[in-house]
Amino acid sequence: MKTSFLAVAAVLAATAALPAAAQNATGTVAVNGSVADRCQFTLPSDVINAGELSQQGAGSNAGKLDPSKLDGQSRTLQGWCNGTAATMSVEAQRLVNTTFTTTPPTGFDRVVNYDATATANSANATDTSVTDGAGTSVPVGMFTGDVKVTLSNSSSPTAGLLVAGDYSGQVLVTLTPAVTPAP
Amino acid sequence: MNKYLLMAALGAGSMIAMAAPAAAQTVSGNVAISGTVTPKCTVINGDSPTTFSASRNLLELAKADGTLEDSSVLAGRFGTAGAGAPTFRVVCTSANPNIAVDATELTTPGAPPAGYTSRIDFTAHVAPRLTTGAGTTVDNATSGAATAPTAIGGRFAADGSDNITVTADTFMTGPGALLTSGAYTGNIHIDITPGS
Repeated sequence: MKTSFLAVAAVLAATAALPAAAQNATGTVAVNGSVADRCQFTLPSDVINAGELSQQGAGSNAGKLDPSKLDGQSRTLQGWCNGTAATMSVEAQRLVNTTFTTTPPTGFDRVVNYDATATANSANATDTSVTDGAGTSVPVGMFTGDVKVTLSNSSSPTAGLLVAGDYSGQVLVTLTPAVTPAP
Repeated sequence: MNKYLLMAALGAGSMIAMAAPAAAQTVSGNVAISGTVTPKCTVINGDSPTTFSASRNLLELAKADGTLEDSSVLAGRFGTAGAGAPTFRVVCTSANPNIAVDATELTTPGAPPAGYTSRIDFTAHVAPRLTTGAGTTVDNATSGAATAPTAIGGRFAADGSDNITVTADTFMTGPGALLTSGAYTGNIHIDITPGS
């Protein structure tokens, strides 16, 4: 009987002395944020002063539009878009004589039309001033840098003589932010 | 008659001798009791006894010019000590537990083109509070590797209040980089081991 008591006591002691495995604690702090879609011009404007628009001299085209004054003219704006699906459009607004504002007589024009092309991130957006409104938007994506605006194909409505006065027009370039959701 | 008396007397004497006590004998026993407390760390009011977690939304990360918001602004949104920083309560049975920290930068999917970045680095700080006061703060920059387990310098405070505070600062990108738009995620992983 005494032997049995000793055996039980030994088992209890041995069991209590067995160490459990060490226990660790693990924590996580999630950090989140977002960046909104955005486009911005860092150089938003420039000026093309074409000077005298009509052809000089005494030739048959004297007094009519000199296309070389506008065609090939270019200016470089600068901007960026941070979204992968950003788009760009351009609107060419015709040059209009702001000094002579009434309807010109036959054989004269007080309007000069042209095409404008904006190039950014290897994408070209075009528009003609013959029709109102902006041209078709093109994907420009995420880019930062130059937005080059080039004029071409200038003309007057009747290929007539240009009415004397100051002419004013403009090219509007619109960058529209958008992002394609991650796959 | 006398013969009988003598026998009686002898009988009485014999009985007296048999009544004399033998030497005293006692027995004793002993039950040994032993146990151990293993080095152990436990989370109080956590996700489980071994895990805890929190999250912080830093909201819009870019300024109007597309570059990273000022680091101090982002650090404030994360929460500073005593002003919104995540806090936790962990108790350890050991005298000098270790903390290891692995902070992961904020990123959004996609490879950015030149001039852009989709990665925001920062530095995480995990500050333990000990029974004796402030312990050793463990810092980890996302631009580097995780820290090794670092002894906190004493026992975690066990006064019923949180004893670990997590902060983040030094938010940065490449100089002048524009941030690509999207949702950004990062994290701070904290391992607490009992140590010695």
